[in-house]
Amino acid sequence: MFDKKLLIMLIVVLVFIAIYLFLPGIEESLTRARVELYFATRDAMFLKSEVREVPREGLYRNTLEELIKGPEQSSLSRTIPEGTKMIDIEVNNGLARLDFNQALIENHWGGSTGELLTIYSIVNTMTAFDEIQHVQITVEGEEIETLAGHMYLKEPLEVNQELILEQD
Amino acid sequence: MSRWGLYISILLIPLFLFTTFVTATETAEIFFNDQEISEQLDPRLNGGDIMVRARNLAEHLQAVTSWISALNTLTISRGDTVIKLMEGSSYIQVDSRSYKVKQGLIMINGSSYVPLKEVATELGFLYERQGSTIYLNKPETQVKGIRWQNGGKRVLIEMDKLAPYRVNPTDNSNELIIELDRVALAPDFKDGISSNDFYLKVNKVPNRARLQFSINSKYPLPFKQEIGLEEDGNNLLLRFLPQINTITFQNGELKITANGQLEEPETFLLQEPRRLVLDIPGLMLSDYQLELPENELIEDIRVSQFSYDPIVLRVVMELKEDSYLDLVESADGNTITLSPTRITRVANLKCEAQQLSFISDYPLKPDIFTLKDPERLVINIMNALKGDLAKEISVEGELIKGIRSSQFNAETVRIVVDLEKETGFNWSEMETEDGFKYTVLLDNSFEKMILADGDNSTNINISLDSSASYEVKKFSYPDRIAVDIEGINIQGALNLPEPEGLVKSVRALQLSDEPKIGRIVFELEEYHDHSVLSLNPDETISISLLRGEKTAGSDIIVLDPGHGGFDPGAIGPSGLMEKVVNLDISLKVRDILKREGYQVEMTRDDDTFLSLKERVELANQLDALIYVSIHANSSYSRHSEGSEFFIAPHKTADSLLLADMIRKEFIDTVKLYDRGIKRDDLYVIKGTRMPAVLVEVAFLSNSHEEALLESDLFRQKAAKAISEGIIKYLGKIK
Repeated sequence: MFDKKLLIMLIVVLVFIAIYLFLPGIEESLTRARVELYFATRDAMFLKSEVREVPREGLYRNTLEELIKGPEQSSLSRTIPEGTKMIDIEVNNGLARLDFNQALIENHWGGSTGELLTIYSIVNTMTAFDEIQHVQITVEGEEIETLAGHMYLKEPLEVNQELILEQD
Repeated sequence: MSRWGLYISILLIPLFLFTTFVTATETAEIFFNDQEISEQLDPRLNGGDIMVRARNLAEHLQAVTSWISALNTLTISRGDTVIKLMEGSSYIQVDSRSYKVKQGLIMINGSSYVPLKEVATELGFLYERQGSTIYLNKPETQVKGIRWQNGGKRVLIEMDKLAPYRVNPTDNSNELIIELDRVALAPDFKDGISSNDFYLKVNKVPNRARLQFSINSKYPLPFKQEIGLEEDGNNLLLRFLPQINTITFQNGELKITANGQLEEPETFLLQEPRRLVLDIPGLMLSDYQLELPENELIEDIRVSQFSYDPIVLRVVMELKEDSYLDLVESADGNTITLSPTRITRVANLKCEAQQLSFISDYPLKPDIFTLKDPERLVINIMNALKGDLAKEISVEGELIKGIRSSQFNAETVRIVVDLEKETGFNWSEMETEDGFKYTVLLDNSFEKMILADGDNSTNINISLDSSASYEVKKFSYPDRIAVDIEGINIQGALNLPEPEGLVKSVRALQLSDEPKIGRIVFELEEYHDHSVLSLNPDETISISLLRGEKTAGSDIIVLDPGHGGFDPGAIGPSGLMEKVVNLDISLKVRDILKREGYQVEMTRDDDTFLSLKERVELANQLDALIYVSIHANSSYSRHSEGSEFFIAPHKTADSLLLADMIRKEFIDTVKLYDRGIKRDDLYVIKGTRMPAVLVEVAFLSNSHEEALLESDLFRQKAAKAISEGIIKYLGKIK
């Protein structure tokens, strides 16, 4: 009898300890989200994802702001020019309209490869959210014909799987 | 009794009229797409609403009616919309909603009458009422917005489909009215042009679904209908004329710049005070900057809008004693340069047949124009002295009556040709052992014009007496091709060909007198595509109008050097610009291919900016055999390197073969890291209708490769690889 009581007590104590230990984790998973950010490989051949945690409040903006900051791993390189700022994000019926400031164009380094990596790092990162299928990029409220003179950006874009290098 | 009966009836008639539920009205007029249909609809005015016979309304609106007598219900359906009305009920049901109307379905003489406004509107038609006149229309296009582009040089009207359009002439140069037919404003229509200086007013023209966009400006609007209106896909583009930006005097040269392409100015010298006048056609006045430091040539400069029709900007330079200025050909189209010049001597004036010639010590630019009453041609040569020139020379022939020459003033020689009738002209320059020979050819007119209809195309051939510059333009509503030919005078008795094939009618008009431009307009039965087959300038202008689907295509290789003009493309760590590399390699490729006997066209062969769309259009219009766009690559990472080849994912195997042939040559000759063939939707390779490849030669962002791209030897290697690849590809497909 005594043993049984002790066992129950032990279980109760353990449950409390478990709750105490994992509570911050549970709380954090409620307020923070894990997102995949796509950056360029150093040889500019592919996009590869880096996982980061961002606050759930303002999820899309936080995600893009992390993307603008650039990668943490030295084997990856940034895809969005310095000085670029998010102005507005609007998600509607699977289409994300992302409005950036002029720096996205002005500070861009050019090249077909450079342009593709920039655009699809944004598109692939955003379409990783289940509710987003298409991305339209605008600059200071205006649709743009092109970013660096190769891609046509007046139409929404969808994910580019071919550019993605899978995690090893 | 009968008299009383009459009185009573007279009293009762108006009473009857007022109390009758439904009154026949004589005044309600109903128009559908411009056509009056009042009689068929038999409109009845009922408490201010108009009721019409349902069956006939449905017929016009292409709707279907059915009557369910058990329910006394009428159903009108069109497409997905179903409207139900029940006799005696004032509710109208549209699909799954219903609402109350003043008067629902009523029966008159066994026919059902329905409220016109509700039924027409619910079926998707525009209903507009003016007094007792009703206009029904079906808008086909929504206007999404209107906004500025290119820093205020263009206005874009965005539509979901190109609507019939026209620009209405106004007497007010501060106002521009654009009319669009069969359109409605989108619910989220954006007016992006109204500001302190501009004001947009949208008027609805009720007798059709027509909108008038009136743009009012504080200043005269620099717009000219014939050259300012352009279709841009579904949108309409209004190009404004360039405006003067700056006048600067620097290093002994005077430069006039504008925010757009400048046309050739006319110059003439006037005396007391001695001044040089520059009339620049198609240029508008604006707040320009003047920088005129103290100098030996020019005392003062004044600028005015000399005329609005045609548009001419006049720059008057007050010259100092003994200074002579002359126009210099300028490489950049937005600048006119004037520099000091020498006095030349004009001599040896001759006339043979309808050709006039003279020689000069130094190169000059004659100012040639025609005058009327009596008809004559005047050649003014500035900064010139009359050398060995006979005062009058005798002539033969039907056109020229006589030729006189004179020292018009201290610095201008004038040659006057007295003519029997008005004529076109053309001049050319030739360098000789002792100076320069100038030939002025009179009467450049149409020799013949032939329309020939074939299986795939209708061909237009316009033969001229001598070679002329021209422009071919496509207009819509109705579809037509206009050919503007320089130096051509359109006379009344022009022998125009009978319409044939795709050409419905031909007409000719004098587009402008100064400069002399004649326009031939070919109105078309239908339009698919056209290509210009002649050179420019050329003696025979040949245009092929394609019938339906694409034909076999030409043998032209289109090379497209990426970027250019204000768009430098990528820039290397030490400052090398991509546009320079692209152009040089492309020119080298062109030279190699031409040497091998291939036909090559370039999207650009100098440092000018072209939009992606313009590049694609050029290749498609030429119906090119293949298209190769030449670029230098870049990325953020300095480590990226190598040559890369892009093709569009949807394109045929030919694009892949072409890319692979070029790539193999790169591996053999250029020998950089091979990044392989990538399939991506880059605009130029996607939009061109022929096999197309975009070559990224090497990475400018990589210092080592930038140094290579800087060297002539490497550029030559790359050009060799590209041209060899093209030649091998062509060998395979033949």
